[in-house]
Amino acid sequence: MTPLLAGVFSYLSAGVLSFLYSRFRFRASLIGWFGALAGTALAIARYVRSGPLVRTLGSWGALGIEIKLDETTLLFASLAVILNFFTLWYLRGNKDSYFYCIYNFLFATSFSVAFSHDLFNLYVTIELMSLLSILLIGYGRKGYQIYAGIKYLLISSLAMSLYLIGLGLVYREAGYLGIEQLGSVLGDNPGFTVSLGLGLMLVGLAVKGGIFLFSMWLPDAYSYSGTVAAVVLSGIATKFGLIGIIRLAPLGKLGPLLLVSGSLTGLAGAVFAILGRRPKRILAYSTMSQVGYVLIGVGTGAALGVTGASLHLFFHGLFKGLLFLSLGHAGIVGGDVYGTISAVLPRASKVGLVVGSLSIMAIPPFSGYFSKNVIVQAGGGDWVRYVLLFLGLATAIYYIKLNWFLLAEPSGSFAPGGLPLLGLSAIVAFSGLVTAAITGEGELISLLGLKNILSSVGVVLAGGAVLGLIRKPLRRLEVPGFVFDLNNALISLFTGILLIASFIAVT
Amino acid sequence: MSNLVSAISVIIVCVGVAGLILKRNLLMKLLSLNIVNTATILFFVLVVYSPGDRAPIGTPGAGIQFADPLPQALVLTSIVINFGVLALSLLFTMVLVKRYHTLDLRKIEKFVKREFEEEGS
Repeated sequence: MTPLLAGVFSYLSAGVLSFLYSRFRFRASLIGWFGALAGTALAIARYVRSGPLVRTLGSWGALGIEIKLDETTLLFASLAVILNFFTLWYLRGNKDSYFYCIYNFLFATSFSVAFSHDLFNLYVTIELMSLLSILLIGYGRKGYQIYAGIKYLLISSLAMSLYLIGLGLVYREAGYLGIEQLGSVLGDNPGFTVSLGLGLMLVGLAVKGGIFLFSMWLPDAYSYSGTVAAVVLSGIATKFGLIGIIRLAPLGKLGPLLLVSGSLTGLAGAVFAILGRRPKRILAYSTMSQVGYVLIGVGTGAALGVTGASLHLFFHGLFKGLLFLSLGHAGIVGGDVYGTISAVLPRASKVGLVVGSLSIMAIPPFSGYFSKNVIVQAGGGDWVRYVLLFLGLATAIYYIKLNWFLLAEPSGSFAPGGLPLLGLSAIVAFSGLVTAAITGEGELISLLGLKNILSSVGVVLAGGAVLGLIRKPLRRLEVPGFVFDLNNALISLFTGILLIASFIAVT
Repeated sequence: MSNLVSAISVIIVCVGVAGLILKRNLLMKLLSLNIVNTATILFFVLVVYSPGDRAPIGTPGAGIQFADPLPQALVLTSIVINFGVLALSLLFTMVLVKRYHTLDLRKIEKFVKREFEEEGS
């Protein structure tokens, strides 16, 4: 436990140092990274030695702050460390010490959310994250970035108020804030008040986590912000809400709710992405669609499903980061895939784009193949299997579309700025195999059978065929931009709240 | 009594939410958000209070009921967070007003989209 706290401390000090001594901003961040790496390594060693563990900080007995060390914690901490390394490498030469400061603070909060196992602690870390990520979104000081930031701020602050109301309801009934304690007090059959409280807390987390109807701020925020900001937001910041949901899920009977909202999120994100025209926006929609997989994994309620969800959090952060970095390296901001992009893509960008896309389309042996198939194996009923199949098909459709048009652009020569992309590509390509080899889990290794591989490749080929069929009508369609305007986003948030409330009242 | 005040705070939340959706002025939206946050704090303090409770100061003796001090301690944190949110959002509004000379959200959205189209391509 102490090693992860040391990681938080080392990132915080790196942030303060890079602000105070702006000449040493890069070295200070590097030292912060080393501290976090050491902390993660020690925590992993501890986990291997003594397994998952829950501890209570402070000497207030049952009211102390609970922290937890399990596979989700470790995967998220490793994700933060890896993304930190490559974005830092990519940022090299950036003169803005203030940016380094916010960036390091965001990684500090990511370490502290990884081991939070306390309702109020989650609230504080998530609010801290949203303040920092708003600063990152608006960092370029362009009008559209400021607008995306203020939209995120309004929606998320409202949602966190709802989280606080839910927390009050749960605390009144149960009298504890630590999730482990709550689990033992509430038992298997929580009453209506507790369910309502959990539902409200779920709304707060859903807004942060990129879930359809709740986080309509997401496409604007990701596609308008700068490259490194988009990597950190989609790789780290969105995952805060999802980690909160993973922690909350065992408390109430949220399983069916998560399965339904996960399927809706996946399908809606996939439809948006298939219709999308701007490269960065397609990636933002795709983040929404992949969040669906995580929710379905958690919603199955099986231990295997939660493992798959945590693995998908980890791998998705890596390959989506790679894809955003590839677009950023090529200097693509807006433009239409059907013609108005006239960019020269450096070779490193093309490599990153292809590796990231193959991984997210679940082609073996790239990393996405493992996490997606673990979620498929966790089950959750027949209809969930069809939804997952459709999601795989849709992912193939929009990534083949993106690659088709971007790879057709002329190639540029290799620039030294492309090295971090190549490094991250190697990690994305092999992290799945390495994870399977290190943990030696039967489920991961059995995925390397011929039947699984053929079916996965078959889905992608089918996606390509479908794209060939629908390519002509697709050119005329577009996602209407007004769907994501502030007022419509608020209205869809309330639709979502009403749906959750009615779902709780029925069950 | 406590239930009545809790109900009132929920009503205030609804008023704030209505303002948040119905007002077109960005500054009004921020004020409505602040109303929601304040009502939440009111709710959070009252949720564990029952009539006759004393303020949780001093040592508990026989026959004296103290209000649960934990939510009141926690709520300080969220007051500070709300202050941060308000300050940051006012700053962002200031930047938007400086650039577009209006507080009307629909106009701002139109300007923003046009600006992105021009810069992106």
